[in-house]
Amino acid sequence: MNSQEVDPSRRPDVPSNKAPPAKSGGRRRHWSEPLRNQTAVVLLVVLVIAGSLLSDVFLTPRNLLNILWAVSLLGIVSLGQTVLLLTARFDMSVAGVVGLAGIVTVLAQINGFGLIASIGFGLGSGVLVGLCNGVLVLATGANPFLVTLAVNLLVYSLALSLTESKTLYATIPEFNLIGRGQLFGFLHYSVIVFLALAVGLEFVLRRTIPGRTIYVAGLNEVAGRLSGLRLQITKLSAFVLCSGLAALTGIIMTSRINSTIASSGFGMEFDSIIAAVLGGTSLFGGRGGTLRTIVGVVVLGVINNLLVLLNVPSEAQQIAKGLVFLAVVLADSALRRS
Amino acid sequence: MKRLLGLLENHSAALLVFGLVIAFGSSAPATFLTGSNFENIARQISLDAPMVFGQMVVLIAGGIDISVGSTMAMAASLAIGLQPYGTPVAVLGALGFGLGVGIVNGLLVTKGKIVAFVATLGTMSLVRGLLLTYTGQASLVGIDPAFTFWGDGQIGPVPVSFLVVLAMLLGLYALLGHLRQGRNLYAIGGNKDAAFLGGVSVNKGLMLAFMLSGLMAAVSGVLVASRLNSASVQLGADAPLMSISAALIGGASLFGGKGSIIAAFFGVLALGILNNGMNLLGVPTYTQIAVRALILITIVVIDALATRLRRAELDNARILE
Amino acid sequence: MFMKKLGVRLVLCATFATLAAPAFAQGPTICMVHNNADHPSITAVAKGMSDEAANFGAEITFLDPAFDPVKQVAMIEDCVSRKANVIVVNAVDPAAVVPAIKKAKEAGIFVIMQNADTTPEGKGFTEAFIGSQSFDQGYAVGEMIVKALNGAGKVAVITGKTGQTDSVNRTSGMEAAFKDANATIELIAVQPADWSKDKAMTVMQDVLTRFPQIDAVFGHDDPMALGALEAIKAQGREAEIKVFGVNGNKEACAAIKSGEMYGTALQLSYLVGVYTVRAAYDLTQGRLISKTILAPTAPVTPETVAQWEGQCW
Repeated sequence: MNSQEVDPSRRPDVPSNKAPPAKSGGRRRHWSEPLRNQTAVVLLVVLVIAGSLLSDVFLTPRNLLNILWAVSLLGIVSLGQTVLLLTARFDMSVAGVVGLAGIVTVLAQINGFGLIASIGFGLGSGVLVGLCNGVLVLATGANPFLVTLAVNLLVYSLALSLTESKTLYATIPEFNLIGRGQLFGFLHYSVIVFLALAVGLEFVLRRTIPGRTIYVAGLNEVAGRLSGLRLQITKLSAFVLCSGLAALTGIIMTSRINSTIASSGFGMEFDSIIAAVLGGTSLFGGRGGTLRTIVGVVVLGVINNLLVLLNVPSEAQQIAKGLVFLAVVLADSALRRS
Repeated sequence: MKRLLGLLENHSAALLVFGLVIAFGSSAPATFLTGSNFENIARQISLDAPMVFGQMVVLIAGGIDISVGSTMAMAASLAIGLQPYGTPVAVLGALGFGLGVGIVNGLLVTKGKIVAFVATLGTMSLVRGLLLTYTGQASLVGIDPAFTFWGDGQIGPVPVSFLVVLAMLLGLYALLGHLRQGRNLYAIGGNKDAAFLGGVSVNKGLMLAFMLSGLMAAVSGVLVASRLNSASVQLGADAPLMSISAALIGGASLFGGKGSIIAAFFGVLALGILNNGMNLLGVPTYTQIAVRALILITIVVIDALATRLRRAELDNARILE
Repeated sequence: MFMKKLGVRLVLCATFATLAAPAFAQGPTICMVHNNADHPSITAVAKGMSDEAANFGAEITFLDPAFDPVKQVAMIEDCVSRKANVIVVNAVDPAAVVPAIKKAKEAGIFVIMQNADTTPEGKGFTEAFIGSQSFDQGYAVGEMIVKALNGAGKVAVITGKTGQTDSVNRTSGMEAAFKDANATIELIAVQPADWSKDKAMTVMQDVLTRFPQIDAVFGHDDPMALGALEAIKAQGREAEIKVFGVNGNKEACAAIKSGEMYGTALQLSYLVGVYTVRAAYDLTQGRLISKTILAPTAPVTPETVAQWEGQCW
């Protein structure tokens, strides 16, 4: 059986020459050890310090809240992607689902359904896509990258044909409160949903049996091919959760911008994986968590915010993002190995 | 029976091409089955083929290269932008850049110990940024009409770019099939640790693979620049998906250790014929996207099922022994 | 494997048997190669073309390369193979299409450029340009801004995707207008939002955070302008900032009417589609047509909105 590219950090700890034997037995701790799995947090701190020095408006409450609001949508998608990554798979169709769910919701409203029902339809479309992805990948053993990429194309073409490339508008005014409403006048609902989901999912992952099975499912990929029914159902539900959260994001986004666009989710498929990886979730399953993804997402948001605050010209922005990303990943890799 | 299955599976890309030709030939014979259309197809796929070959090499070695599109676009821009210094300089600059990106990717993976997906995602962004800065967001127009010979010219009925691709094909076939460095790539992709224990220099092999991928992407870029006599910053957006799909159709595995250059050629040919045929039939955009997706899913699923069946058969055979 | 070959062939045959276009058409066959399918302005053009095609019995095929210059060239070549009477091209990149339209001309096929023209070299192979140039749209907005700000002020620009022709042209058009009017306008921020309403909202938020005083915002299309407007409203700075866009869609026109937006450059996309089909028909009938048919870029402002309202789409 072909082995996957082995994640170097998963290799058993080889004793390194750099740690000389301590006098009182046991290995002496290298200075970087507490930092080992917290590269994202370190980066966030560095960015925040840099930001406050370079721009006098960066550390204002308003700006920080803006950053949270801006990333909350990508954040929700990234949470779903994180859970799926824990099972050693990922979903490239989230981009299309974000667009589709919003369109389905608005179409339902245009056809006379109420607020709850239309949201139900929207979420349902995400669940269906997740089931599709899961069944295709798990039942056939096919490659998740290609399958979900192909499903993404199908979902996108479906979204285009449903709207005939026109922009549709929601018909129920209360709908817009979801994306734009604020608690106490300053905390957006979407931010609350994002943070609550992250905490809630982390609890489920760490403390409940279905959650822990997700980690097992991820580790299993390399260890062997245990395929009990419970394990398969867990893996399938990870796909459904990922798509479902993408659908939720699409609904909130549609509500936020008050119109539907089939391509509104484009870029999120890569960005959500980047956010999860930055936060410390492994591409190979079994390691990571949703609280970490908050950090990854916020890092991305801070970078985007600083690029605009400092008026970095658009050509240079790509270079900046690429460099930061590579620097983080290199640092992370180096810290793990020391 | 098992041997027949194996034989057919290894040539699935060629069979797909055959099937597509029959399908389009019967739906639109007047336009599809003409010499000029086949010339068009040959010329069109010749632009993508080098990139796909490079991607295949990396996949065989167990990696993946998402930066190919950006490298291709930058190479195209250099091939045009450096023409005031002489066309040979421009082409060498473009190829050199591709090689350089390959070296960076290789170092990130071997020395930086970063997973290929993540490493090339980073370089993709970086190179795209360099491209935007170098061109100032404008498209560049070539000043040497003779340069278009490579991308647009023909010798008899055969496009020159197609001949270039055939040359690459032969070279890479020799490398992977017969030269030790090439054969090592299969070992590295199949099982990195076993290869290492077997005396193969894993790092050197990976560096070679990424350098080839970068170089091939640059070759694609030079051909594009030559054909269009211009370079646009919008080039290459679709390249990662397209090259990986073509390579996977050509029998590569995302886990490494499998694939062949010839099959990769049929893979990119299949995609090219598909696009051409759908354009000739006037299939609307939404449907083209859906058809491409359905074919991709069908191939991937059938391939996965076939692998599973084969593995089950092997397991059964072992039990019976 | 055998099953795969059979399965794929069956899928393909079934798909294409139902899709192959009928061979009988009395009017001209037109092959339209867009730059992108997923934008309301393109849909409006397509609708204009389809509606008008009925009048002439013309048969139109729409192809979309999704902003990829190489794919667009391949599509044009395939149109040549299809022996269409007229090929209409909305160039993703002005220089890249030149070899392809040259081949079309050599094959005796008429080429019309729509909304995005080719280079002067390429124009030698085309019959006409129909539409409005994105540079002119930017220029029109620039003029509106100069007028609204009385020639001086701080302006922020929210652009489309970095590197895309429309993005680049609209900014340069606006700057040219400033120059021609000798305006003292300071471009305090030029940031991309990739044609996304949501991204425009978040980018505008950050621009607002940075600058305590902004006089005008130019969003390269109406969705982005409206997104920026949302961000401005959320911070209560509508009175301070005048918002401008390009497209002329219904939402924007309504916003101008109610005073929330200050101007947009109306693209008469539907009419462009109609004119294109008419021109194609004239060409196939051997009639001469003018080389440039410019759809006016109507500046829609609070003063003129009543006049243009009906055209907003």
